[in-house]
Amino acid sequence: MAMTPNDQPARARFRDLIGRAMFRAVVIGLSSGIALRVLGQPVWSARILSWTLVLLVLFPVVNVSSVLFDEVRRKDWGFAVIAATVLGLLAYGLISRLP
Amino acid sequence: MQTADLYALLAGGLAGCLGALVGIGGGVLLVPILNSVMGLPFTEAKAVSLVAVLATSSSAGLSNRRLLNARLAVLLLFFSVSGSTLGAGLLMRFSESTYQLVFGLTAAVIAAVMFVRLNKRNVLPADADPGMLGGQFHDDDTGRDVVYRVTRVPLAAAVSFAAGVLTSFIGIGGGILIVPLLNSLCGVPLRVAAATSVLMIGVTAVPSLAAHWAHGFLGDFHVAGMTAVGVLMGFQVGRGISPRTQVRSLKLIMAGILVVVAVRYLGWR
Repeated sequence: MAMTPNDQPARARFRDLIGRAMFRAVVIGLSSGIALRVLGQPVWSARILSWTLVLLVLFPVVNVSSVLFDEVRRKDWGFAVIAATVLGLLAYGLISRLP
Repeated sequence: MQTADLYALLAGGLAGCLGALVGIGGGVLLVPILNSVMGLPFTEAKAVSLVAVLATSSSAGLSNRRLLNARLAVLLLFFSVSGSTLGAGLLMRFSESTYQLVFGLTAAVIAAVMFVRLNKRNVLPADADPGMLGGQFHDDDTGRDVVYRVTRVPLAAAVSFAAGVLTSFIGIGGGILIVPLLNSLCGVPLRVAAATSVLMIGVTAVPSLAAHWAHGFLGDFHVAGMTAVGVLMGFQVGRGISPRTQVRSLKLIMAGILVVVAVRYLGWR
């Protein structure tokens, strides 16, 4: 998770917790997907790997949300608007590609 | 495990190691390896490379916080994500040889700039004003607190936009453009540039990966999964090596990679 110099320890720990939980989920997902492939279960492997990929895509979204939260908390509206715009672009990039 | 799996794992490991050392996603090496060595179609190699970029960025997000300049990152992300979104919309419009020529030339120019400015440190006196986008950090190389100021922001914005377009067109994360730019032309120390870039490349890859995924370029996800596992392991290796690596060595590694990439893409023609 992205962190600014003014982060409070409690909030930093919370972000750390979320980041590590997501990262572990990615590691477990990748390992399970590959193991299932090796065990001859290609359909389940593809299914799990695709969901792991969704989780990987969420990582940067959470990072930018974290920066947005920081800027709003500091009432630095200029950077908050930029971060919100980046999130909007990401949402457009994802939603416009949904089947 | 098949030979192809091993190649994917090793290529991902190399990309992850580079990500930890110099803040690039490793796409510049992954795409040629996946395409030329493993024989994947170029479009699938690009898509797998984007997954590796995301994996590198996610790994780095847990370890680079001290050096990350989040404000600079989010400002430049506005431009790089715009470029990536535009590039994703034009994904099938141009020929691959055009992209290879442009990228080879760009890599050659950046390598030249890095070699010329190899010893430039981009640091100010400890009491200097870092400005709105600058910052400070403790430099393990010198054991001192370092202050830096970001210059040439419009240039950084333009190159970030170009890096975003390239992310969609040739499957790289754009770090190979952003890190040398921030370091050599915008006054950002290399380690900060690398930490900022590695956050940026993950975000920039999202619209591009979504487009590649929607076009069905990711296949059955198996190669992407193996490559991502390689990235996660390689990143840990790179992080272990990083504290013992001097900034000058990092610059040399990066310039060397750029030369290889330039020769590869220009020599192909």
